[in-house]
Amino acid sequence: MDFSFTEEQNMLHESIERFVQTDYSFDDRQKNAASDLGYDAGNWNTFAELGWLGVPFSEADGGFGGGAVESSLMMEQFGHGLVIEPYLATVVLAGGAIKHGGSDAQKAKLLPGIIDGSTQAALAYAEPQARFNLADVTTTATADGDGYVLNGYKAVVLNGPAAQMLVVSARTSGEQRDQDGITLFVVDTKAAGVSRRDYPTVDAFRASEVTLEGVKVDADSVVGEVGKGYAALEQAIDEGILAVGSEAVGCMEKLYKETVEYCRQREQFGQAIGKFQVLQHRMVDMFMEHEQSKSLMFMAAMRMDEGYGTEAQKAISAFKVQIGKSGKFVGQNAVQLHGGMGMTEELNIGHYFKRLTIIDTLFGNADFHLKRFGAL
Amino acid sequence: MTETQWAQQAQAFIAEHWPDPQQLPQPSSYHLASLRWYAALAECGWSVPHWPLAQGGQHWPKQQLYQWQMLCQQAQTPPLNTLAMSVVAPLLMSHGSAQQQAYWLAEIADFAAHWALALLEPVNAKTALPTRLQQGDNRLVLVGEKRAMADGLLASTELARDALWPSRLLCLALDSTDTWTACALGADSPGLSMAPVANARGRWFHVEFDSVAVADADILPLRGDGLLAALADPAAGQDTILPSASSHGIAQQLKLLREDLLVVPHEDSADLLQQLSAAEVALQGLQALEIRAMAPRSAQLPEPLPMSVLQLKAQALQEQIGTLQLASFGYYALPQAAGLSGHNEGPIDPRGHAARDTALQTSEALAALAASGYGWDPRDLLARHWLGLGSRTNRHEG
Repeated sequence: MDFSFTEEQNMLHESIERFVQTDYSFDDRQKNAASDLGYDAGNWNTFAELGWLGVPFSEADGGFGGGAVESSLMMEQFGHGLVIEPYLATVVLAGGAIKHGGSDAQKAKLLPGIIDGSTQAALAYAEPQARFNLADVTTTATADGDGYVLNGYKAVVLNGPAAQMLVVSARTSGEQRDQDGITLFVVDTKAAGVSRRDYPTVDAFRASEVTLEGVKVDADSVVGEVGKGYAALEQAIDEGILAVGSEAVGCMEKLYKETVEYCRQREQFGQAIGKFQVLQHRMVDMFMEHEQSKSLMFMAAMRMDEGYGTEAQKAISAFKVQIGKSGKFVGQNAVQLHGGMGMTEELNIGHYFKRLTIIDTLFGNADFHLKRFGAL
Repeated sequence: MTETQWAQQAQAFIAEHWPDPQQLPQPSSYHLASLRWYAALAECGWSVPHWPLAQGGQHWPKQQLYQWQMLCQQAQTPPLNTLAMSVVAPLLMSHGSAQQQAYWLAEIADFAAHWALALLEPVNAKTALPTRLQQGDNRLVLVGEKRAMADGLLASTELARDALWPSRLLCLALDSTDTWTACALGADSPGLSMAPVANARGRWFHVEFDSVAVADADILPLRGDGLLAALADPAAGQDTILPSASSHGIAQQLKLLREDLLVVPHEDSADLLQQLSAAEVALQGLQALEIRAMAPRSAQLPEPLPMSVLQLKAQALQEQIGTLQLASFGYYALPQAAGLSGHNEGPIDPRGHAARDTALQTSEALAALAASGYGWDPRDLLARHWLGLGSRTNRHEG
């Protein structure tokens, strides 16, 4: 396994790094997060113009032809800037489900809108009773003439408020927790029977509770094969884990570096507090957690690019376990070493910590993935 | 030579010169086999492959060194990185006189001397004062006491005093101007007495210096704070320390531990297997760090990963595994591995073979770690050199 990068990968990394450093201030981010939309439409257009929204899609589908490594490099930089735009929900999750499960015709129809930035999308997979089990689906899809009728309830749909298109998991056969019998559907959020309750999340993103009551969709809305949607869903979620994990790596780097800088400046008892050995060791431990997470990020991304299977899934779960543990440690210590300031809204430290806390929960927390790792 | 051909050559060398450690019944056999192994390494020029050619090394690239370490760990050979190599040699390369380099480096590369580091004062020193290098009758003499640390597998205190005891000491002392000074001494110097101090692995010695004569040529030119800083990080800025590749040895331990846990399931098995999964996740992390340490530089990886990171991670993982092993062995954590092999044939644990084997492996793994960690926390080095936090403030300075 080789952790070196191609010239294209380095160029992609540098362009996003430059954008985050020069055009994405924390103050602007906060202002955009508090706006009606919840993010900046201008930034989204910039992402599209620079080709970033097409990074994980094949050139045949109009994308950049990148893989897990490219997505990971992008998301790490997004983590540095605490980027609020819904890249994860639209491109990685909804786009990923279509990419892995959809027919060529569906990809040709649906992906261009995601790549050019005109379509906002969301993956509606979670349900209140399911916790982190992707196969625990009670939303039903009943055959009705040439199409289907969807009934059910989807919880915490990321980017639900802005989405024009949902990719919904629904049960067409089998028992509540069977992996077989789950079908993915593309649903227009304006279709009759779709209702939402929107809200902000702790980390300043937006989500919705989505109710589906007698929502009629045609047969073309089925993503891939009827009853075989679980595989595409699981792969899209694993790519989502790599994405948020990489974002967490970026968040942790920002946190430990800002903490080191703060401790070099802040004086107490007549000297910089960064001179005290106990604090130095704590900062080294933060640095170690970051380096550890970053290394597992590379390993997980490369395993995914080698081919999606058990080894890739194990690497993804190992990465998620590490992220959960490290994110908590780095976030808590960053807040603590900043003292009271670490708790304030105007300082970015607490916001990074909130994002890290949410990332641990997204797609299964550390305990869940430790069990998955052991079972694979 | 291709990479595969080289690996085959290395494997053949290991097979020829290192027996399966489980087949060695007595601790003394292990030590003697270790000495034969080190001699074979020296004879074929592989004792210090990471050193520059001019100093007797092979200047192997990192990837080759890593592969070499991996193969050795799979065969459970003695540690490749001795105290002499990881501490004394880098210090000499940077700060030794030409004469000291010419003599001592060659000696280290040949495994001709077993070094011990006499840097620390014993807590219960009779004098309660630092060891002194002072003017005697027309010569410099050393007076005081030290606790000296020796390489675990080269220096045995389980045997009578013989070739396995340290033969040379690097000693730290204050001179008449209260400046820290380091000198090298033969263990058989008149006035020097040495006695093993009981501990888990028998690597420590109590040393008394009763006016031991020290020649000027045996004193390092570097003194004072510069000497202390160099001792704290002897390989700073050099490429003279083997890149760490601990993961392969640890992977072997975890494999045996999993087998052991599955032999006879009990009511704690599920919990222990869950903890084992956590250790396996940590192992993946260590492997990823090792691969990163070998990777070429790029925009994403602009700096080489410091070896202290690998050392810290490996230590943490060993602690995790040690705890898990104790928990999984139950009462069979009590028997002493060396005592078992000395008084019994075969394993005494009726559940099977793995328990005793993993206990022995844990012990060896800890010995390797102790040999690389000689009193300073790697976190101090990372704080100073990597995070740029400067030297720490010690309590007595405040």
